[in-house]
Amino acid sequence: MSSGSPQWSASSRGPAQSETVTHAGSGTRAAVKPPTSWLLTVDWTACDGRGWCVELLPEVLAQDRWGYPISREDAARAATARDGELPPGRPSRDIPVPPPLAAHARRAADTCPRQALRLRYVS
Amino acid sequence: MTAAPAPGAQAPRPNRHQDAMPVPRPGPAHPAGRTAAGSRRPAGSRRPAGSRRPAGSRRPAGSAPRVAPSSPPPPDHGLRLFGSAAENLAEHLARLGPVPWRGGPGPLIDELRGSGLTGRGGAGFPVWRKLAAASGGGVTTGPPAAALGGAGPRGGPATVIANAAEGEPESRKDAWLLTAAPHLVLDGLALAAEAVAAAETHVYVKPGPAADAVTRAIAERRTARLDRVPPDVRAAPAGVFVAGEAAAAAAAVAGRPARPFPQWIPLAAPAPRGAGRAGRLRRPVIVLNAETLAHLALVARYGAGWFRGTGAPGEPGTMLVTVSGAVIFPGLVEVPTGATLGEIAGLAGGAAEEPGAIRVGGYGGGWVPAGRAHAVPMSRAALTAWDAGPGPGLVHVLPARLCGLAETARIVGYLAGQSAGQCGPCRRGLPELAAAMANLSAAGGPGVGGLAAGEFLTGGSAASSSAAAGGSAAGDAAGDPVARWVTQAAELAELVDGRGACRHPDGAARLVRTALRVFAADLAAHAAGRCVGSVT
Repeated sequence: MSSGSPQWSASSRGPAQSETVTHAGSGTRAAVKPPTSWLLTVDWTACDGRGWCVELLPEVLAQDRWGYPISREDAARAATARDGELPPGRPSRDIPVPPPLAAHARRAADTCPRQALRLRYVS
Repeated sequence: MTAAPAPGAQAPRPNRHQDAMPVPRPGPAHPAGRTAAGSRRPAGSRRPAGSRRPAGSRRPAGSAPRVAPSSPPPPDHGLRLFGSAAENLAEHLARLGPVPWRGGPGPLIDELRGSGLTGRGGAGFPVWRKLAAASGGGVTTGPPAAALGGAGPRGGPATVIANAAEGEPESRKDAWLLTAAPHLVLDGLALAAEAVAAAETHVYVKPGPAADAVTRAIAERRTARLDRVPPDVRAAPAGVFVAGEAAAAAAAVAGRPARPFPQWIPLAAPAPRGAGRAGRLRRPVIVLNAETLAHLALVARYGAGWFRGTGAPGEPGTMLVTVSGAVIFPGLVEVPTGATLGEIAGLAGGAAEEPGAIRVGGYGGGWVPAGRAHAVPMSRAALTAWDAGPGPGLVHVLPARLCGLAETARIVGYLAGQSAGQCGPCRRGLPELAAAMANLSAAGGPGVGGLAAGEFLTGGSAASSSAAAGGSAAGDAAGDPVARWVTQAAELAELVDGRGACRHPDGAARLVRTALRVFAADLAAHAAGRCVGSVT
């Protein structure tokens, strides 16, 4: 990120450190995603696709063809599949929320008319 | 592992239970001597239970005996469950010795952790973690026996359920276990109950011969005053695919409809602190597959080291596999985990005709091309590369003359009909997915009779119109009906995957995704207006 980072890495910890980080980032499917501490989970037995959450949290959520909330990432996955490519891996069960949007996610969860959203912090 | 047997090998191997298919029969139809291991056991190895010094009498608490001193030798390592078949209590005790009570939660949980035993119901979850969660949580280090001994978990005592509902239509293993080795499963249930100080134990099974057999076995144990908490038998609804899911089993035992429900905290875990009144009333429920409990009873008898003596390193032991489809002797086999699909098919007599593809893991499993399947190990780790898994031990051989796309369409249609209808993406997505696959296989192939999309749709006109909208969105594939339905199916698979309270839609998505990949040659043939079966 910062321009000083490679210098710090090279001088104090050597290349092994950056190698380890690279490996952890590309190893498993779960690790590909940036580390996120807020997760939004849908109770699919309660959700009936009214769409309030999508309006309150458009940065993260979109509506699928039936109106149910889907993460923008997974909506893009499905579009990729429709275009004839099978994307690797699988959609995620929990929807990661970037920390700056946590307050909006909280509002979406609290105002869901079906109380179908849970927001949890995973440390 | 030995070399894979030649395809078409005729002689049934010893780890095959010939009586197990097609319909499990009650106990008397299974003379235990007819199991391969039983007939091999020397007569002199039987001795009455408890004829030696009592187990653990001179041991300090917490040091688990590797092998209970009073027990007869363990069954042949390749035939652990087949070798433990015993239809009545006297024979069971003569063969395996008494129930190795461990005197509290710690020793058994430690032993299970060391054994690496994973669930055999399909999810492959480490068994010790469920029991540790229910017995107070966080058993990772230190002496759990001392730490957990007296204190019960929050929310009241636990319930343990032996899950033999066996919702997968092709599976026969749980019914066989309850029929041929009911006391082994009940030993496991009693030991798990002891480990978590359970107040209730249940056997959850469809009505039928297996339920009758386990009911008789429970009566025998009651007469012998064997179990601290005698189990009762709860009926699972027959012909309901999702009724065997763990939460559905817990719901059914609690008197609610046998449907999955969302779990914000694991079933086996006690309510977290601060969960309020509802949380305090919540009891941990441990749902373990019948085969898992049978292995658990053997781990308790012979120890973790013995258990790890066979099978794949990450998921050791043996497993029961129901082999169906185009094999000479369809039925149940017992193999070490990690046995190749070729070996498993060989134990079932080998392929009865030219195979096209192998479906591993049941209706919610994945397709593996026959040309490569021979050397693919039946283990979670190895099958992940194929986007499949062992599931509850299922292998189906599809002959090359049958259309793999039509077979996938048939199964997805079944799965769509078996959705509990609780979760929107599953309720609306699976019928559309089934319709896409049916139309795909009908275009240029034998299909399943050219099904209209509406035949699978349960949601009425709204669903139909949205399906049409989805279809037109794939307009770049205009003119080629096969390509249009392929893109439709691929998109729907992504849209249902992971979006339900249980993994039912995930399984349908996996089946479709692997079909579109494995039957690529057939897709091209369908597009050209002909079907080439399931040549992979």
